[in-house]
Amino acid sequence: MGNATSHIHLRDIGLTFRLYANKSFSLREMFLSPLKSAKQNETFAAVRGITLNIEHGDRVVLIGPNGAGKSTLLKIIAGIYPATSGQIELQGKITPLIEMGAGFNPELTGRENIFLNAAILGFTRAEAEKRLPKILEFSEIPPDFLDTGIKYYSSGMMMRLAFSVAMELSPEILILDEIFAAGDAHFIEKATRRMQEFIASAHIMILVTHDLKLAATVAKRGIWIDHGQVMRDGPVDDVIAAYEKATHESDAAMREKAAI
Amino acid sequence: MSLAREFSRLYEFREVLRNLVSSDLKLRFRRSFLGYGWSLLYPVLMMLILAVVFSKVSKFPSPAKMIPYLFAGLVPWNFFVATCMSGSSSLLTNESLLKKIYLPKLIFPLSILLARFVDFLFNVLALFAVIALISFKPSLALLTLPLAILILFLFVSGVTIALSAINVYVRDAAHLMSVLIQLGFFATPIIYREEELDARYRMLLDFNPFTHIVRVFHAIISDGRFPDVHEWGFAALVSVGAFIFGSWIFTRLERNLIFRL
Repeated sequence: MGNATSHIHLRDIGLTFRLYANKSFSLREMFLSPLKSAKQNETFAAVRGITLNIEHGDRVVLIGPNGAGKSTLLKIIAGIYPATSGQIELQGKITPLIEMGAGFNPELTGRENIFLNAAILGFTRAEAEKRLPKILEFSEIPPDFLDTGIKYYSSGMMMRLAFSVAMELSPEILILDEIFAAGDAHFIEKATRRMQEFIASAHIMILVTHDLKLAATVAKRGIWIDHGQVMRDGPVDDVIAAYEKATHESDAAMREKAAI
Repeated sequence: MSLAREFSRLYEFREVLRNLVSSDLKLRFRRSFLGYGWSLLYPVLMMLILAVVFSKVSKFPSPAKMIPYLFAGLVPWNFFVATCMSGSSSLLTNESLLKKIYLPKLIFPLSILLARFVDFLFNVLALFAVIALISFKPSLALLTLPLAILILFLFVSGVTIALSAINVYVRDAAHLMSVLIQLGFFATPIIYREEELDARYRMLLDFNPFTHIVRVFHAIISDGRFPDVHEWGFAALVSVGAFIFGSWIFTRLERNLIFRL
């Protein structure tokens, strides 16, 4: 653990997906492919030349319509997707919370999943052991469920457990992609509070959300992305205002067109 | 990405690897009365069945000779097959995880490899338990068994690592592999001795890489002698070759693999 400061510098990052009909080519296609190679080269540029400097202390929210490339950009930063062009210079340990409980194995018990998930998020066994009581307390998992396979858990219990494990980290670069999906109102309230502490302790936080109210409360800097490009970058309120205005205008234009 | 970098990443995530291996081993016998006991009992029972059946049908001079020979070949072969079969699909089965979080991809085939290797070690124990029941003359050659195991391990890891990545790109690979494995079983001297074959066919055996590995195990376990320089040489060549080739394929395919899942 422990870089003193963190930063993410993106230089002209691009990612072009090749579109595969069924993602893998079978042997048959491999032999036939010279015959129809033109057809195979359909591509889609999800991210086109994004240059961004995200510095220590930044609280960033990425907004934009569906399919704008926000989540793809997050996955590039998290190292899940390799960029097809450009350079990334990154300092700090990344904790991606792109989906709660991504690493859970339904066959394993709650306790075993805590250790597995903690390992995926970068804990050693000893560190996880030390945090176990706090994780249990926060997740409100009944003790007799702890050694039961999590396939018997309710989705709410599963989510609480995943959230609690994630929150016991001391994050450097925290990456969040729309995560409040399940859980009862009481837990969501508690989680939101805990989440703010969690975000506060991170060197850098990057959030992707469609919830503009949430965006305005947790982030200071807004980045509006559309068609894989940065449309606007600045104080979160300004960017949200510009984005909302553009969305309304295009909605109005659509309605006008429809009326005619 | 170089292999060295891949391994240093792997070291960072060693805790994940340890977890995956232990859960693989734990889950199999969970809720069974004997638990881990099965990992030794199962191979012992299987071998006893085979020993009885084969001593009735085989052309071998005596069971005391046949049984060590049979298992000296079968145990390494089973390790190879079990690892290949589940290792080749290991990246595909962990697709959802790979798409949500960064993990070194090598971790998945490697966790299968290590779990199956633990099974293999239990099988080796069972092997000695069973041949001790029949007749067992310990020889100094057994001291070289760890080297033979290392050679086997490198070979199996090379093949598995390569297959796991290739299978993402060409999904026919797993099916093709199961056919080749079936062929390989009969093209390797496991249930027959090389001397039983026609000279013409015997030559073909040399083209099967696994033959060279099995010969070393036969020498040590069933003949009770040190493998000669040629036997060591070919086995080592085949296994180091497979390992280098597998790692090379994997590092080449690894980068864009995520787009093909």
